[in-house]
Amino acid sequence: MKIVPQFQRLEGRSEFERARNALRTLLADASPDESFQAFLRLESDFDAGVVKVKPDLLGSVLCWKPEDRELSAWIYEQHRELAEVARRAADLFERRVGADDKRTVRLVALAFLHWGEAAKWVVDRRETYDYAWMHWLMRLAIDASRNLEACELRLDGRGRSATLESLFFRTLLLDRFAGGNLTRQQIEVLDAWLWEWMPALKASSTWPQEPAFRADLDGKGGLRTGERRDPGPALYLRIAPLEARRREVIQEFHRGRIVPSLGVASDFRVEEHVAVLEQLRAVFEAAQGEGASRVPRRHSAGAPVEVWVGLSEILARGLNALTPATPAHVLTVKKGLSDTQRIRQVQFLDEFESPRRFLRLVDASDTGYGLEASEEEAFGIGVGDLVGIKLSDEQPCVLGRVARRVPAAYPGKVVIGVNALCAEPQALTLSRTQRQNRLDDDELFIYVPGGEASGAHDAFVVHEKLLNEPGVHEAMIGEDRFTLQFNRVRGKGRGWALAGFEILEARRVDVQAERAEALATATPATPRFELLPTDEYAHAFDQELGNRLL
Amino acid sequence: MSISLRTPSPFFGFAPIFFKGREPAFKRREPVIAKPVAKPTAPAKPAAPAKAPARPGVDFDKLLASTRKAPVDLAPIEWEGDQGASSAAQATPAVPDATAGFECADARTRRIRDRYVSARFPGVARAASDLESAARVIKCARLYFEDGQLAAALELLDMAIEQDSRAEALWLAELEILFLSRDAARFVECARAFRALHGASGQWAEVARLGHAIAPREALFGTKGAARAHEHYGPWPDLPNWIQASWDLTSECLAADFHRLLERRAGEARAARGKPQPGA
Repeated sequence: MKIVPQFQRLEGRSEFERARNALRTLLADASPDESFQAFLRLESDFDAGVVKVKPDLLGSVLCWKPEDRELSAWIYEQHRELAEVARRAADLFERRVGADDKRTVRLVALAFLHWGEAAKWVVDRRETYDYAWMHWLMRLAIDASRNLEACELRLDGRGRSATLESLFFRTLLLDRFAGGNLTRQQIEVLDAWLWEWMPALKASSTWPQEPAFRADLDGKGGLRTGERRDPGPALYLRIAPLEARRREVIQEFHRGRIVPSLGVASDFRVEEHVAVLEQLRAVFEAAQGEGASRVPRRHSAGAPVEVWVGLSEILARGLNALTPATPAHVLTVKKGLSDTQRIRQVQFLDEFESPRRFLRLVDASDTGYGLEASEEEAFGIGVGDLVGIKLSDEQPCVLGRVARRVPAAYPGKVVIGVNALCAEPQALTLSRTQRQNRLDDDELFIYVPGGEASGAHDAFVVHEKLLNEPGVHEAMIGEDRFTLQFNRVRGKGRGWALAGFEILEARRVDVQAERAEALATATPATPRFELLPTDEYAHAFDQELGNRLL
Repeated sequence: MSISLRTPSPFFGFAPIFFKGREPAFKRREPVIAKPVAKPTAPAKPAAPAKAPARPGVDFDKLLASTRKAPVDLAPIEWEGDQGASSAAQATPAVPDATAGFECADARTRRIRDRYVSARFPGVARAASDLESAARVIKCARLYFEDGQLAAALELLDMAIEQDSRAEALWLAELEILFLSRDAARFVECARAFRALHGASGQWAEVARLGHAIAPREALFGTKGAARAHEHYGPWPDLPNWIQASWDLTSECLAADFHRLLERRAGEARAARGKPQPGA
């Protein structure tokens, strides 16, 4: 019976590393057959061990524990090492038995496979990949006319077949999408699709006269777009077949089926799949307009800027709208909090306050901001979060959405990319027209003005839960009361949505008369207790006896 | 070791052998997952709703009819203990249900489709059943289109058509959006599917008129008719307004007012800070 390595345990990992080092020395001395078989055995053992821990590592949407991070980093290192050993072996085999030998081709395929896998497991500092060796191996395969030869491989405990060419592009595509925009689960979904799309990952050595990705075979870089202007060797991957495959995945979802139906990715939430579909669409569409230049970026000296995360924190601290201007008549009917609760909130507010968060601004453009932070400072900030940034004391809080989070060039640091949503958001209280005597009958939202004076592109940042119970709201601006209804979602993130709205009605009201009427008809208000700065605080536990005295 | 009331207690150290031979009363039904169709040739317009393939020994009409019956108010059932359950199970041995796998797979695909709809169209629909209201779907598709989310608008209409391909209004709205986005190939494809399914539609002349404008060489639309009066009338000039855009512009005017008032408020806040506009 075959014993599966236990990578959860340190001993299991150490044992594998010893075997890997032994193989490395074996390569130089042993016969080609012997070293080839030894590599296949080691590679198979590694796959069996990873399959065992993969569902637990990727299955949860929760943050990784330190031991999970350690294990993931170790798996990443092993994939890199295995790719390197396979590359060295392929180099040796090419000299000893020739580039067109089946074993050489298989080793090249394994090197591509593990480079691709490594791109999925990055958890710490991400090195700038040097793909020079990969391009060299691809040129080797093309020269030997073996680039279209199908190789049998094993990954996640399943046998697979792919050509060198398709494996080459799989690795480069994974590298392209592993830039921090996708979560670890989403990258796994993408890879599952890429295996299904292998027949579409076909290269051409000439410019196909249509949108395509490009790999420069004499360079060191990853995937680019568009035509190569100089006469160097390049491989092109057309985008249209990939887009067609993407649409097929959508069609399968329409039929109620997840693609692929097997594997770790098939157990992930549908939302993860939809996020990958959106990301693919964005990248494919961006590749269509290859001539469009990137928005110029202004590098900053790393000045600290205050950052708030989440709708509530932005409202409370970024927009200083902690206590909404609630009308008096509203206070009389608000019975959600008891007096004890209200006093407790006032008295112990500081206890629950999170510390202020300052990150360093490393670059800025008209469309977004780049922030650098330590792991601790950036704790809890993920792709899709809503953030408010105070760029300077003179400027208002700007609003953005976290688009990427990647390890920075220095260990322990991360870079957070933020897409700008609005340069001048405003807090605005909206009241439900059909009051339900709930705390959220009057709620603060963030108004995001659109670029048009018509107001057609205006929106509100609202809590995600509001999408499930859309209702009609009212907003008071001066003496005008607007009745509005949310009717579309223009963007979405973790726990929030950018909701478009339509105005149903507007009327001018006499605020003074309305307030007087409300006070006249309202029930007597419950007494409100508030602590003033001059009040003396009694220590809550002063009167208690210590355990020793009892 | 956890012990429950049903755990057999040892008898002088020996496990009671009479518990060992008991067969499980019920057999677990494992869901049967339908295999994905290999390489669909083209994003075919759903013509008629696909009928479930007939399986030997299964009367689908009868099954479907039974699901349409209103639920019956059942009297509460008293639990009689394991004795009763096991004796009942022995009396009526579990018969393998040929439809069980089909039902499980169907429920699973429905659930996945619902989750997809909810994730793809947040705020618009929470399940596929929400797409049954044609008027609501058309309005949401129009809003998507107005926001520049053409793919979402068309996919929403596609899914609603898959749900109910007889709803002519959905087809017409999709045709109009395709016309407005100047996608001639897809317009022709959609018009062909519409013609096949709604051959007797009174709106075909209008579809053909749009077809002539967007794909003049396409034979499907026949010869071009004469110009008509009042063609430039409506919220979208020259168009039939199948996307149900409002003729009343009050809402648009109010939106501009709302924007203006809040812009003024922001200006006041800016002035209070005494500093110029950010990014200016």
